[in-house]
Amino acid sequence: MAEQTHNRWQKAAVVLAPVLMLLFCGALLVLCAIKPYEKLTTYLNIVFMDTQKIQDPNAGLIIKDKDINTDYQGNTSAEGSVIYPSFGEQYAVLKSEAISLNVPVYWGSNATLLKKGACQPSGSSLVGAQGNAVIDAHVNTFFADLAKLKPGDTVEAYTDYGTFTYTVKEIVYFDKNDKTYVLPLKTGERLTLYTCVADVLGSSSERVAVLCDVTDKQFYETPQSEGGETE
Amino acid sequence: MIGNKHFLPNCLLSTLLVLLLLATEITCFVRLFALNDQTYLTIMEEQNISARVQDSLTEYFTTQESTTSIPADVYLSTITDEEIHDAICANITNAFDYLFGRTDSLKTEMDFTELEQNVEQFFSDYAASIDYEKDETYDKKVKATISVAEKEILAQADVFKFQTLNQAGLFKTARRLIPYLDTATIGCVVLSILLCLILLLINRKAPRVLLYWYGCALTVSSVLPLIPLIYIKATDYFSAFVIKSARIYAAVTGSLNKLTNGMLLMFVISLVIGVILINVYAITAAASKKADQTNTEEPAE
Repeated sequence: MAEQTHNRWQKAAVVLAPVLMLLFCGALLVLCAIKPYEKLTTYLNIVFMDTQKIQDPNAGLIIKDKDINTDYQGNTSAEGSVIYPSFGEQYAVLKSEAISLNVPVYWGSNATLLKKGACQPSGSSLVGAQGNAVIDAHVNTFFADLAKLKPGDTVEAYTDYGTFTYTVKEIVYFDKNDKTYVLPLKTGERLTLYTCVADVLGSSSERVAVLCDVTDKQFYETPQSEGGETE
Repeated sequence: MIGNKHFLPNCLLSTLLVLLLLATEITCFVRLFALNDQTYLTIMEEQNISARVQDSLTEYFTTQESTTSIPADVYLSTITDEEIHDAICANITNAFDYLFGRTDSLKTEMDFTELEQNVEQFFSDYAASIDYEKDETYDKKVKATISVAEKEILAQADVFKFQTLNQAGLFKTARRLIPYLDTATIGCVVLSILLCLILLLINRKAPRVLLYWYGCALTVSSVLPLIPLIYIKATDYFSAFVIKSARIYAAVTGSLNKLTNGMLLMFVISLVIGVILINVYAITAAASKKADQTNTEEPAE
């Protein structure tokens, strides 16, 4: 009987010992790690915060070109809501007769999109919405004649949700590090078109911006159709 | 026998041995693998970093052409794949030399003679074509252009962002602590051996039991870190790295994955050894018990 109990205890000990060690050491390490983990969590969340787990970092940007209607004949109203595009999507066409401007506008701004048209940084307001709608393009391509606009000239922005007419108010020149004209606006609506001042034989450090006030807003009763995708 | 009078001291000492083995494995791994520049030089080859840097520089200078009208070829024709490869290697080697106190400067030099000549020639040809007189403004523009290009190339060759880490003070902190790492590693090894000897002393009359206790310590010290490591691999944690620039993403996530794989391999091997030791004990204990039973059952002659 005593031998049987002893044997059972032997078997239990063989199994229990590593389990107890694992639980004890595990608990000890977790307790010791709580404070360092609390300090590190903020940094880890910042460094590994991207929800898009991209295997190939060269993949990812989906460019969506659209056939935006610039001759809408349907019902419109002065009030309505904007439709937010996705990064890389063409969401507007910008036109101005004064400088024969006719350029697609993409939501988001990077080197690839700047080759295709004008870009709007995704931190700025959409055309037709309150705030500062900032649109930029290269000076040697789409915005070559931007600085030729004068106060009083009109600029039209055509989107899937409406047509918006702006009047040029002011042309300003500023240093590339000066963010005054590209920051969000708390009140009012403005369209800011800007580009580099071409400086041959050196890096361009100056920018030119055309500040426009909205004069007419026509939101469509029915938003327009989708376009095609490219990668 | 496991459950004898020495069970409690064996258990306590083995628990301590678990922590020491864990510390030993981690310090050895960090000292010999994680802080070895060869690890990162290998990653550079595996991830083809120099090609990614070349692509990034091509994109940069091509984009700059829109605003400066200086053709990208003026710069790119002077930077070969080999030079970029050597610059990245030099950055890595230099960083570790700095960490280990073998050098006091984190700066890496590259030979930009050809770049400077090319830019000066381009400016000179352009000035001649528009009859521009070379004055102080002209010299300033040439120097500024060369300086910006050199800074950009050096910055892009620093794929692990050692300069940024240094500016954040992390390198200085690591440089101060690294001398203690060798001491810590040796200390952990010595203490682990000491603890093993104490266990041997306690169980000198039944040395076979040591196989079990050493096996337990190795197994537990392997299972503990394997849990978070398997979680990291299973969730592909490092793919969520926020910087999506191809060269930096490849370098950093490549390094982190390689270090994780290295640790996984190390702990899996020690887990296997631990399990083998426990099994060897179990088999020999069973065989010994059977032999004892056979001796007991044999009738006396």
